[in-house]
Amino acid sequence: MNAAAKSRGLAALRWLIGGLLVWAALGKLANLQDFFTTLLAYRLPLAMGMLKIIAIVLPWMELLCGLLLLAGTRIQAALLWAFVLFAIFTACTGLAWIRGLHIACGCLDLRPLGIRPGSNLATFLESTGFAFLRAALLATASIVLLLRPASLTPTRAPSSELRNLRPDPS
Amino acid sequence: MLYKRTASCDETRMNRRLFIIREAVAIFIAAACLGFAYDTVSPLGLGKPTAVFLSAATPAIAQAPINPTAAPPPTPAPPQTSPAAAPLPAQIVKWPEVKPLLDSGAITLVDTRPSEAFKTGNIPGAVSLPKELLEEQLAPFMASHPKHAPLVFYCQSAFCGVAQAVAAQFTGAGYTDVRVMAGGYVEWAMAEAKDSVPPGTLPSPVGGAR
Repeated sequence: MNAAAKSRGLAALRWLIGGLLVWAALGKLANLQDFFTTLLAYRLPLAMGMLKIIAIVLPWMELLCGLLLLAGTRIQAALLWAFVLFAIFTACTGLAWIRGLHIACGCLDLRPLGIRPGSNLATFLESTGFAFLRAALLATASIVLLLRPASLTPTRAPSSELRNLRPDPS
Repeated sequence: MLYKRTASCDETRMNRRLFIIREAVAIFIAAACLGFAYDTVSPLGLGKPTAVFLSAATPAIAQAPINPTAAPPPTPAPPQTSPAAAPLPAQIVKWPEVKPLLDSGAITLVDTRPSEAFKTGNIPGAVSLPKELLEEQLAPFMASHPKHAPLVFYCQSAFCGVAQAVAAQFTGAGYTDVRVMAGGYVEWAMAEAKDSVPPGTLPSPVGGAR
C-alpha cells in the first residue's frame, strides 16, 4: 500500500471515529436525563455528584473531539481524548458484561437510523457485549491513529517546534 | 553537530507532547464550561428533571391527595360522544407523593415505556402498558380497572410526553382520577439512587426508551 492510500485510509478512520463521537454526543445531549439514568445503571463506585459531572461533561467531550477529528484540526489531542474515552467505555461495559448487568449501553441514539427502541436489532446493538466489543475496537483504532507519524495525522505544530525544524545554520 | 541535532530532535518531541497535552487540557476545560452552561440553561438539564412539568401544576393539584375511597373529583369528565372535545389535562404528581400510595396499594402505577424497557428495569409495583401495544392492551386494562380507579402514569423522563398522551386517552375515556408522575422513571431512579437502591431494582433502562 502506498503512502497516499494509507493516508486516505487513516483519514477515513479518523472521520469514522469523529462521526461516531458526534452522533453519540448529540444523542446524549438530546436525552441528558436518560443518559444519566443509564450511567446509574452501571453501578459505578462513584458518588452521585461525580456521576452527574460525568453526565454533564462527557457528551461535550465527545462532541468537541468528534468535531475536531472531522475538521482535521487539533487531531492528536482529540485522538488522545477519544482513546481515553473509549478505553473508559471498554472498561465500564466490560465490567457490566462480566457482572451480568443487562444494560442498554446508552452509547448511540439509534432512532435516526429508523431502528425502533425495543426491537431485536436495537436490543442487540445496545447490548452490553456488543457495546464492549465496539468500544474496544474504537479504542484500538484511536491509539493506532494517535501513534501514526505526524505526517499521516496532520495537526498544527507549535511555533517553537517550527523553529526547531528550520535548517541548522551550523 | 550530530549531538546538537539529536538534542534538538528530543526537544522537538518533548515540545510536541507538551503541546498535545496543553490542547487536550483546553478541550477538557471547554467541554466542562459548555457542559455546565448547557446544564444550567437547558430545560434538559439534570438539575431540573421535573421542573418544567411540575411548575405547571397548580397549588390545588399539588395539594390534592390521591384517595381511592373518596368520591371522584367534581370536575366532570369530557363527554365521550364528543370526540372533538379535548380531554382534561392529567394532574401532575411527584414520586414522594406516589411512593406511600403505591406501597399501600391505593393506586395503580402504569409504566407506558416500551415493554423491553419495562422488562430490563421498572419501578417496583408498576404495571406495564406500553404505548406501542396500547391498541391491543387498552380494552383488557380498562375492563379490569373501573372508571374511578386512581391511575398514575409515567414514562422515561419529564420530556418523553408518552405518559401525558396515554393519560389523556384515559381521561378522554371517562376515567376521573388520572395523574402523571411527570419526572418518570428518571425521577424515581434519581430519588432511589440517593437512598441506595436495593440490588435487582437498579435502573437499567433501554436506551432511547420513551
